[in-house]
Amino acid sequence: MSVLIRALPLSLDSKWVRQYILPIGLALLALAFINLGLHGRLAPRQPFAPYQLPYSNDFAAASISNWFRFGGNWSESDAMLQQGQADAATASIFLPLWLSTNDVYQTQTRLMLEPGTAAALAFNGQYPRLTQNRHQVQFSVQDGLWQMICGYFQGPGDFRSQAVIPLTQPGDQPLDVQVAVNVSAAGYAVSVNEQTLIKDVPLFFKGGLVGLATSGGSARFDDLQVFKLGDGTSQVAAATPTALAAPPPDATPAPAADLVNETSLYSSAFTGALAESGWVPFAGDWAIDNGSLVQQQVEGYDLGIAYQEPFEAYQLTTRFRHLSGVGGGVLFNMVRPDSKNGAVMVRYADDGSGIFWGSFDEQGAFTGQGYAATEDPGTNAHTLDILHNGSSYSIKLDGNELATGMPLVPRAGYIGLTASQSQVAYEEVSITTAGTGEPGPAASNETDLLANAQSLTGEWQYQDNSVQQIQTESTDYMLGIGILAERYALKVDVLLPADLTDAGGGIIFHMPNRDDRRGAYMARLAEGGKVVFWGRYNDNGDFEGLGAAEVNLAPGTPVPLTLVVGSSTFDLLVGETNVATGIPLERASGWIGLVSYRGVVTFRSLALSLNGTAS
Amino acid sequence: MNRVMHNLRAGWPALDLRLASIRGVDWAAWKWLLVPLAAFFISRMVVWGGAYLAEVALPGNTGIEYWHAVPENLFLDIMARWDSGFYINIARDGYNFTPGQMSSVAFFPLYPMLMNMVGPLVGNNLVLAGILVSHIAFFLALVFLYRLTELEFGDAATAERAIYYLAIFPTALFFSAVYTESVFLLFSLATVYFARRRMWGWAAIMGIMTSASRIVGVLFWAVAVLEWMRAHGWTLSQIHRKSAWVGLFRAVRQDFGSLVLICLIPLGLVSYMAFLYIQFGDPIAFWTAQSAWGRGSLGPFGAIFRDLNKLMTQNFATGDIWWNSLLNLIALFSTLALVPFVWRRFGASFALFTLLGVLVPAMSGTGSMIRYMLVLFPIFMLLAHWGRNRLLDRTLMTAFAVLLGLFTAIFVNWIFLA
Repeated sequence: MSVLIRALPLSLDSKWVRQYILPIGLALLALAFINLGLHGRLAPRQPFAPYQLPYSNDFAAASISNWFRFGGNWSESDAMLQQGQADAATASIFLPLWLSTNDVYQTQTRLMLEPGTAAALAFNGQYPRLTQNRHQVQFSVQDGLWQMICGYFQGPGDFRSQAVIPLTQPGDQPLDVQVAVNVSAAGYAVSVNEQTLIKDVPLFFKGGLVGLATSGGSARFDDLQVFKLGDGTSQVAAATPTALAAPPPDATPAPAADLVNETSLYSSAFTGALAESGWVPFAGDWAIDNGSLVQQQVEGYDLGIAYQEPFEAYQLTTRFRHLSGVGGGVLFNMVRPDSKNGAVMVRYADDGSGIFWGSFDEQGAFTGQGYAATEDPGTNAHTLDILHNGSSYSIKLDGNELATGMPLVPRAGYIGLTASQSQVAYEEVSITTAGTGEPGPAASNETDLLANAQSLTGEWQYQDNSVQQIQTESTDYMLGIGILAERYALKVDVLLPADLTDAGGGIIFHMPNRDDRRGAYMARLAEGGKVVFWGRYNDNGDFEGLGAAEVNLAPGTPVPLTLVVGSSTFDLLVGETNVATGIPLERASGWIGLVSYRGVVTFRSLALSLNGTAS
Repeated sequence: MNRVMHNLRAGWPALDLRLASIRGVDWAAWKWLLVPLAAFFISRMVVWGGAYLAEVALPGNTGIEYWHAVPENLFLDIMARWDSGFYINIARDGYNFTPGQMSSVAFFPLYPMLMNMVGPLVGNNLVLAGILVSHIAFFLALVFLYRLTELEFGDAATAERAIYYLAIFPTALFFSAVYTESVFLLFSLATVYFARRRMWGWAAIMGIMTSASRIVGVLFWAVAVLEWMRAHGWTLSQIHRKSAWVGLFRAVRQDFGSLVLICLIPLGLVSYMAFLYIQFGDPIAFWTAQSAWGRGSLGPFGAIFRDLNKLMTQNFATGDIWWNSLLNLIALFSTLALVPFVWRRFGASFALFTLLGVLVPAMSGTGSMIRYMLVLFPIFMLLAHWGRNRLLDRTLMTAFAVLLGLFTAIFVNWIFLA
């Protein structure tokens, strides 16, 4: 060894070794420490084996020893899982099993709890020992009733409610319910005692853990199950290859069987000049050729053309064939005829593997809502049907249903055709009245929406299809409808008395506490329908205006008032006119109510659809 | 008494020997260790005592969303709030990244890595591991700050004030929490200390660790380069002199090895970026993840004006205000106001770190600025220098101590502070 050291050109005492070689060596050691630590210790780990579905546990035998517990005292007794610590502020337990992001599954359990406690079925949890980044369906008492709260933890201590649904069970009695959550790529649905209470709730976390949680006391659970669903889901029917087999060339599509009493609103006649057809392109190279409207540009995304007249509640039928490439489809619910921004799009994926659908926001960013695998369309003609019922839409391809009840911003909009990375010939475009198109599951009729309404001020009377406030003093009257929501579209037809020039009516929303206007927002018609204004109540309950617009409605005529509430802004429509957009909101959710100034003011056709598309 | 002592000495020679040795110690020589030790214990007793009292006596936020990492042990639990959850999860389960969501990649790796390594030594209790790492790092940081301030001013009293100002700064509770502040402060101070001592190798090693502990850690590359240039006679005030440039070029030739060492500093960040690229395909995932916290690339002024505007529309008389924004803007503008003084007293390197230490995070929002300000040690050195004025000294000590108690109570009770 000493011979070796002497043979080295540098001795350990030399300046180079002390000043450079040693420090560089130590620096490399530091780097090695960091990199080994990163890749060896902090690399993402899926700490659980992939889920072996189906999973079922009746808790008859000891089975939770390896579950992830976070607070509380969890045990199995009397063939049930029990969280027995009465003073546990929060407690959760997760199965040591991991669902992949692609799993379409259902989890369900029986849940038993006493008044004063809360319990939840958690799913798509990202962390087993923390209360963050997970969805849950929670049951607790509010205003004397048990209620179900669907929501998610965005971050630590940051619970965001997506929907609150009061149950009929009085809050002073124990709750014993069977809750089931049906999770798909597009959203989730919740059933209580085999009755579906809500569908199409957006998912913010995909895949992960299933677990149970309690708050404020003990609770018991039984019959926990997790099982995969078929390829179809509650809202997206992913068609089988057989069902979506391409029809023979030039097959004439059969009319949709469930459409009756159709009235033609538009039928294409692609002859003559494009400029005289009523269709105006806004991207791509469009021409009328041989009886078809053809998009000729080979490359490019979201090339489009729109018909210059808006429609509301219709069936849009389009027959088209790809001349080269794949990517044809339709646009509808377009805000403007010269832009895809704000529109809904349904089209073939560029690789021909299927059809996808979703919407563009105001900046043109696309958010997908769903996808269904189909056979490559080739150059055969295919028929795409969109059934637009005002608040939701359904999709059929060659007569096969791909999706139903997809939520929609209720409005009249333009329709268009689109092509991406493909040349497409549209042979036929027709628009008919929607006939018996079913209302979307996310939309609720007013009977449902007003089931838990409470009159706070004024005198509210329920009639067949409406609710009226009949007091005539010059003040605001309020009806709380008992629904808390975030990101939704709410529409109601407001009829003001023709003989009162100062009457008004509208919507109060984002109330932080049920039926308490402090901190809430309001948008309502005023001066007998001459103006609409909007603003917020401060913490003292005083109204502070944020804006107003003249609308000059005809006296005695009901007018639809629509709120499209996003996570941080809302839009306001009176009739079909968008009177305000992007009004900032200080909170993401809140309780909803109706408000009347003087009377008699009538509210009809109250409809709520979750997942409004305002930003 | 003398008789007793005499008997003691006669009877117990071993004890007598110990007494003699203690009396013989040159305590002044150990001041650099004992003063930080005292500051450490005093300040941590205040923080822990206040935190515990606030947890048990005050009605804080409770509910299913306010988690408790160690509910069976409040002494540990009170130091794990908010972002602590991310560090605990990184240490336990590794990083995760989901675009658009609050993902743990936003948190730099050195601190959770140390938690992960210490964890097995304490029964895999990662909260305890995090608290231990934070406290050890904080004590060592106080030692480095003491030595650095003494080096700058040649004055033990100033050094003592500096470490007390830091230890009882209103947000100094984060030095005890499961947060990265202590570790970052330790390595950043060590980098500068060794750079000022012209020990470039050690400065480089500490710099590498710094750049792996927070995004602004990479600034210490520039800090070290400026220090190296200053060591060779080049400063911004000499920039117009030819001799400064000649000297600099000569230094590059003669001391090129040191420069190479300094240039290793960003490799801590580069290592993390490479890791992110390999694991998630996004080398700047720590930046892109910021949007989930409501932070986006607004530029240094866009975010400031946005928050300033928000503040201007509030009603201070009724208390209907965003007090977080108020505190953060005060921290931001106070720091910016102090930068010229830092430059004048300590030179460009310290000023650069102080300036960018707030401007870089401000590019995506002013949130948590009062916590980011906590590690800008040149400010505490400057205040310590000014603290020769007894009135200022007492004012700062009083204000800091009161606010530290208040902020600790806020933090412990799950009210978002920073």
